[in-house]
Amino acid sequence: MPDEEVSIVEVKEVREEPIIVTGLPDVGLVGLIAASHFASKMHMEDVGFLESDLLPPIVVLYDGMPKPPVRILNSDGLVAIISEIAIPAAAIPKVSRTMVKWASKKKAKLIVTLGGIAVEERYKLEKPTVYAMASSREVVEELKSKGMEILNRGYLVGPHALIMRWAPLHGLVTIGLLAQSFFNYPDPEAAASVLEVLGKLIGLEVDVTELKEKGEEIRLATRDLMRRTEGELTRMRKSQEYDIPPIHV
Amino acid sequence: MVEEYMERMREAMERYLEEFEERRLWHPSSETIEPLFNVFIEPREVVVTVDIPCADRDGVNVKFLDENTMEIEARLQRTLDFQTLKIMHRSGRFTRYYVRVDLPVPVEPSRATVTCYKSVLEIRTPRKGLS
Repeated sequence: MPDEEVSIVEVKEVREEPIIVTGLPDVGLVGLIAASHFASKMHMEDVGFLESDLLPPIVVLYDGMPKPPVRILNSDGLVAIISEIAIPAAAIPKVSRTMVKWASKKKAKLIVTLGGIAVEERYKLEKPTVYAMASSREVVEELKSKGMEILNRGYLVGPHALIMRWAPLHGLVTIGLLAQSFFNYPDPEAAASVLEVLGKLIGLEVDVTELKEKGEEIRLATRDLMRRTEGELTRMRKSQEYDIPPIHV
Repeated sequence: MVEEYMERMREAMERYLEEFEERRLWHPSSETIEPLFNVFIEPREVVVTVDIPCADRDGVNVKFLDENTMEIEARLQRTLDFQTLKIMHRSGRFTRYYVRVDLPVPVEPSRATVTCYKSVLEIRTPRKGLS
């Protein structure tokens, strides 16, 4: 058992210079639904997990066998980090720092954090817009030149915020893709929008038909995790993302 | 004094969150599922939204018990059981959503409007004495 408070255990070797996609439970479970679907479509296999006493004592059973709740999946230079439990708000800084350090050790080519950005009356939107942000001006300009909408101003709260803050300190390029989403209702439609943009970004076609067609069933099956996640969102003061940052004149 | 008050507030918040997180959403004995919902108090209206995926739009029923309490029911498009969700060790089936919502301010039930957007129900009710 590792000694650190949070550590990443690799059960199979992950090659250097991967593109890492993160999908931790957050508003609308957008990142988790998107990253899980991405991992499934890319035929990724389990290669590791996150271990910590700061996480609840939980395993997730698949075909009668236990799997750790925060897992690392891999396939052909692509890595997905997903969590099937709400990460306790108090553990988020250590979990995020460990993920960034691991990405640095692996000399990640790119980290993409997938998620949602909650908007009022999301249910009236026909198709959620995806906003991008990046760890450096050069990358923001590159995203703009590809026609992506940039999230110019606002607060970010939670794992995305910390990954975006810490990854550049390790010289890692980080991009956040956040789709307009519900705050506390699962949002597979937003996840599909995020994956369409991710596909364009990394030059891969990700089939999101299933996410769109089975959206209602996914919403029904993920509501328990959404409710648990909502508790942690409250603890981490997630609603601050609705705040307007001060303008200095 | 202020610190003591803040500590009590934090404890109350934590108790509320724990109760919220631990509440069960699946009720086999009544064949109901409790939906996720939100209540927003606006200057002249109370807006309640309810997430009802897989529900039949024609099977929605909103009933006010009084000016501070509403009951929302929505029939599922088809009966659901734990086996459908690949949970084999529990038995039970579910035919509808049901939730009772306590409103923090009084409303005028007769003027409520109900709209369904992509399986999210929006119930707008004017606040009593304000419009």
